[in-house]
Amino acid sequence: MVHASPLRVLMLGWEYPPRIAGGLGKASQGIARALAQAGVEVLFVLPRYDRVLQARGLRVAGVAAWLRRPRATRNASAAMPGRLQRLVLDARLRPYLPLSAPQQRRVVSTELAEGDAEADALYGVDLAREVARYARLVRDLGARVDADVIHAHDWMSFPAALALADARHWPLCVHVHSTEYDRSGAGADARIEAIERVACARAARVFAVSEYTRGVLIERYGIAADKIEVIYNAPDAPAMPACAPVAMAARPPWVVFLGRLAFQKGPDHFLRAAAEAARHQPDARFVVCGSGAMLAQLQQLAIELGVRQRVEFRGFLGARDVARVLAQARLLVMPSVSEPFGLVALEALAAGTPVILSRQSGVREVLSPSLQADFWDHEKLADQMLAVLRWPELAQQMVADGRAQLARLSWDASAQHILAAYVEILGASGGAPS
Amino acid sequence: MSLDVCFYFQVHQPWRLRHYTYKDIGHAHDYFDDAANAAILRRVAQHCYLPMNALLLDAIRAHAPHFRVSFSITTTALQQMVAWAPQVLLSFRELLATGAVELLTETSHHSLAALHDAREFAAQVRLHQASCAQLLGACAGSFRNTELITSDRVLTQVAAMGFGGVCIEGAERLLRGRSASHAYRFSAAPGLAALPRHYRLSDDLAFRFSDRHWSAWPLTATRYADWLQSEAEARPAQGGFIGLYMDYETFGEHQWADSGIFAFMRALPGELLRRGCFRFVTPTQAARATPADAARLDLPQAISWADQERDTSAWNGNAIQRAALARCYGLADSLRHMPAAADAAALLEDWRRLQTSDHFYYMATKHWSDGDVHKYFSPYESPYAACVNYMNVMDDLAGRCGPPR
Repeated sequence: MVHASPLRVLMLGWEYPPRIAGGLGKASQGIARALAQAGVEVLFVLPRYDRVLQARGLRVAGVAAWLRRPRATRNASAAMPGRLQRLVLDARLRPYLPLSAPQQRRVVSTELAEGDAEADALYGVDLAREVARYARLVRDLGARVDADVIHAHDWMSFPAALALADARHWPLCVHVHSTEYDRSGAGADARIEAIERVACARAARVFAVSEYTRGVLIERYGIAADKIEVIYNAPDAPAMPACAPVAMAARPPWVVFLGRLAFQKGPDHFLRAAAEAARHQPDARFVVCGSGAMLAQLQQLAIELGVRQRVEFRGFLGARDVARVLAQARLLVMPSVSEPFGLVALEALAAGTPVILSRQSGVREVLSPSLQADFWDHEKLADQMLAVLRWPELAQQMVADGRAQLARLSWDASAQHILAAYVEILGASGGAPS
Repeated sequence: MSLDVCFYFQVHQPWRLRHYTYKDIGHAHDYFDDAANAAILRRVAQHCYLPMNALLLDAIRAHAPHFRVSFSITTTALQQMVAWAPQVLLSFRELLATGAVELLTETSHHSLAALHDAREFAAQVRLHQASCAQLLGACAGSFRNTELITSDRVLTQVAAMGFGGVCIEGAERLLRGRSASHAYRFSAAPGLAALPRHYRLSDDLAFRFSDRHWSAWPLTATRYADWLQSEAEARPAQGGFIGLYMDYETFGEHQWADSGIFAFMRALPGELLRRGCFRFVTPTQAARATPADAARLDLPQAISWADQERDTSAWNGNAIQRAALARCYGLADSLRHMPAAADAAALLEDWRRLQTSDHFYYMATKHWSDGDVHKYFSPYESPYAACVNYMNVMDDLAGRCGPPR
């Protein structure tokens, strides 16, 4: 696409590396960078971010930083906006936790602490307040910058995107990396669902990370099918592990679960399948990596299933430890109840480790063929685990084929799809970039 | 200007495995999905075997004694016909009784034994002859190996068994620019005539016939006869041979009846005979007509009729296929030296059914993403699922064989 002047995108997101809690930040980065590579000018605005990143076509910072320097210079060597050091992202502020969890009460840095009774009433405290604050600041920011398109990642940024779209009438794209249904299942928060539904309905274009997620948006939210486009995530380039992969036959018989210990990720299904497999493979060990509300319940379950001695709970692991565990393990099992994409499968393959995928996941659409099972089918999961543990040839073949399939995915290709969608909606709205 | 036309149809059904998990190993020795196998056999009988046999019988009678065809029918297919569609056996016997139909010999279980175990290969060839003799009448003196898998090594063994001709794939890398419309001999076994499949003209029927995007669609018998005639006209005075080899399921199963495939085949024999430059032959007739000094072919590497590669990679191209094959043929010694166990015969038969090439074909990963025929023909969700199931069965079979020797 060649434009007289670059297409300008105001991108709103919640996470950006290195400050991330999960896949959202990595995906946001992959998309923003690839769009910039494709010639789009991307201004990525986060609620809080303790640094300013500048690259050709891409600027990333917390919203407060932009408000202090509204005409943020394109000069990469420009001085950092004042008082930036104080804009700290609170890592505990996780969008995947309930809106009004008291233990999540955070200290808002003084300069930005703005009591907002209205927001409290609407969203509850904490995360809700942060979302509302972000929306207000983004709306203010909108008065000082220009853009052709708004592109918002996941529900936390949707109120901000809607406020901005109302104020400036720029066309809106929303990018759904997960829905409230994926995160909370039956315990979904009606207010978050409402935000997602309203934003998707209002958006000119909805990007979904998989056909699976597209289906959820159509069936559960009633979003018009023809405006939802599937934009697959891609492995980070280079898709090389931090540690060299260990030869399959030399790896200990570890089967890994990696994810939040939450109902949607299916850690209980992992344990039930593990208990089956453990009986038939006496040396197998099962490694549960992740933290979350279900930990105590899972530890109890392991005792009840008689496999407590065979299961290790490793807690939350940083990126380096994740890579190390994956590079040693014989298998990763992702038994998610609802998984919009599942970047962890890509990370495992990058580490030379095969994966068994939930059929209720998006990543299986790009990893086909692969071993798959319904999350509730513990016997089938166990059958597949046992075979992969037993036959290193099977494990190696799955890795080789999986990596070949991943090589066909790229953020660049995804960015081209997004760019084509921008151009289409700008053409439709008569708002071609000037 | 004359051309010998040889139609040979492959009839095969594998014993598909049932879903067999780790829980079954050591407890359940029934490996096969009787319900699925019966349903598939009955469906194919209805769509293909019965109507096509009737059509060929009519054509043979109408054009007697000029129209001839050949079949190779695996023992695994015969067993399933006995069990679930005996009327199909009767209709094949009726065809054979005309004297215009030849039966080829192959391995009883459509196996890859030729590549893995010479002794087992010889045993399966004898077994195939015996089952054909018992159920249909004798096989003639020509041979085709599973999926036309052929190499110099295999040919040496086939020649020693006393055959006169072998059907092979007319692969480019074998013919090296020579005509596919010609019979040859083999350097490794000069006593054997090499009867190549003309893959373009064969696949026009087997793969392209109902393809509406194909430039020749809809193909008529007249047009197809024109193509054959141009092959004939390109030949010197004599010695032309066109091998039209395909799966029998082409007729009515792969190409549905509403594609016009039956009407096409009803018209073709008359259309060719009317032109005066064609003669229908069986492989054994063609082998006898092949001069002793015919040009010779070399097959240092095995070729087959599968996929674009025309090699054996459809069955042993990846690590899981090779692991499964090694596991399967690794049991040969234990089975040969079994004490006269009560279920020794059943065990041997189970092992042979597990040698059928289809099981390994289901594990192929090449071209998976292109949505090719492997996927189309597989009862499994993925090649890996096929591997898991097969290896589970193999574990149980190995247990029945006793400790490894």
